[in-house]
Amino acid sequence: MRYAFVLGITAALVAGWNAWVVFHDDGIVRGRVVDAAGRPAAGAVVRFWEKTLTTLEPRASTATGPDGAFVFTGQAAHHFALQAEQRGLGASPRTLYRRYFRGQNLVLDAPLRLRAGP
Amino acid sequence: MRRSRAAVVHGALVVVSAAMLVPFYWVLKTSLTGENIFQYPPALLPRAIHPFYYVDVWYGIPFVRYLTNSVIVSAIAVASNLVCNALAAYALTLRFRGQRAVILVLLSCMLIPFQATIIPAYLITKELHLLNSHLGLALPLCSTIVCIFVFKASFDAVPRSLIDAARIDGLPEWRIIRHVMLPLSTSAVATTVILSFVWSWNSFLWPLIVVRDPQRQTLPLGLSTFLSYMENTTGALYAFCIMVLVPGMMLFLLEQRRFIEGLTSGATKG
Repeated sequence: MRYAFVLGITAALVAGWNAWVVFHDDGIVRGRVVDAAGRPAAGAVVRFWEKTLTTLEPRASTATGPDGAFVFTGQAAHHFALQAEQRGLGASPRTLYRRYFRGQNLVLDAPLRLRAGP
Repeated sequence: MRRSRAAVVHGALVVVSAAMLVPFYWVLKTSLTGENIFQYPPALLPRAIHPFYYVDVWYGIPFVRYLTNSVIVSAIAVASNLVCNALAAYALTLRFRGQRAVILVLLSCMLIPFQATIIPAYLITKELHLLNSHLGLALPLCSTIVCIFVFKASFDAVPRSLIDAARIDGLPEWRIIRHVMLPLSTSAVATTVILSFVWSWNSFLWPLIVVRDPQRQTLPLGLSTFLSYMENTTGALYAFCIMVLVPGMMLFLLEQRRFIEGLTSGATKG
């Protein structure tokens, strides 16, 4: 009885988790880029790096729209870094992000903020 | 007076238990926070808990493959221990010439560490063409003397009249073991299952010697490989330790009552 209960609960949790993963693993990362004053930075280049156990590997880049929004699709890395850059406005710090599973769809809580370089 | 003494004893036991659980707590805490284990003063309570080190382990190494190999090897070891040890223990409960000498030989063999017999064990496994195989990994743990004596203690407690009745009814010896002895020795079965599972699950030296193929590596080998990747993986390393420990702990918690019964059966008369 105990075995059935524990194994049943475990199997249910694993199945539930995998079902959740299947419907939320398109690898979409959405966010915004703003300048130092908080205004949307249109046309900024955003770079995506995958964090491996030892290094950061460049994977993709995209440009922001008129509202400063950007989106990456099909990016599976569960541990990655983002950095935005725009000529004249500087670059944002390279920031690490984590996901609970590979390809988890993610909307960034805070925008990438550009800062003028030294 | 008696109650206050019991309270003192219980208090002391709680302190000792807590002291023994501290390393496990520390491993769990570090796996959820990744904090520096050499930090001074150490933080007793975890701060900024997150499960991402477990995610790193899951994707950083072929964890499922290691887990599958460990499960297969442990299953072979457990099944083989149940069969071989029950048969050996039943034989030792019967009266035969040289029985005492056999028991003495088995007991003396317990004094020989496995490391001393590892070269002959390797050569035998090689001759059987079982290197780099699950069966070869489980082979040295297919029968353990401790578990033979656990079974023997339990079988000795079964009334002889019951075995005689089974014989009169025409049951062959193997069916007496299967249908009379084993159902009356569930605590010994649980003890054997837990001990053989934990020993094979944690086995490191033997798999390190007989496995060359990365596809056949078990969890302890995976842990050592993971450790060699880089040094600054405290959180992920401890998360891996927890993932390795959980199946054995679950099995123990499920069977702890029978396990303790099995280890203490035969300790007292009557």
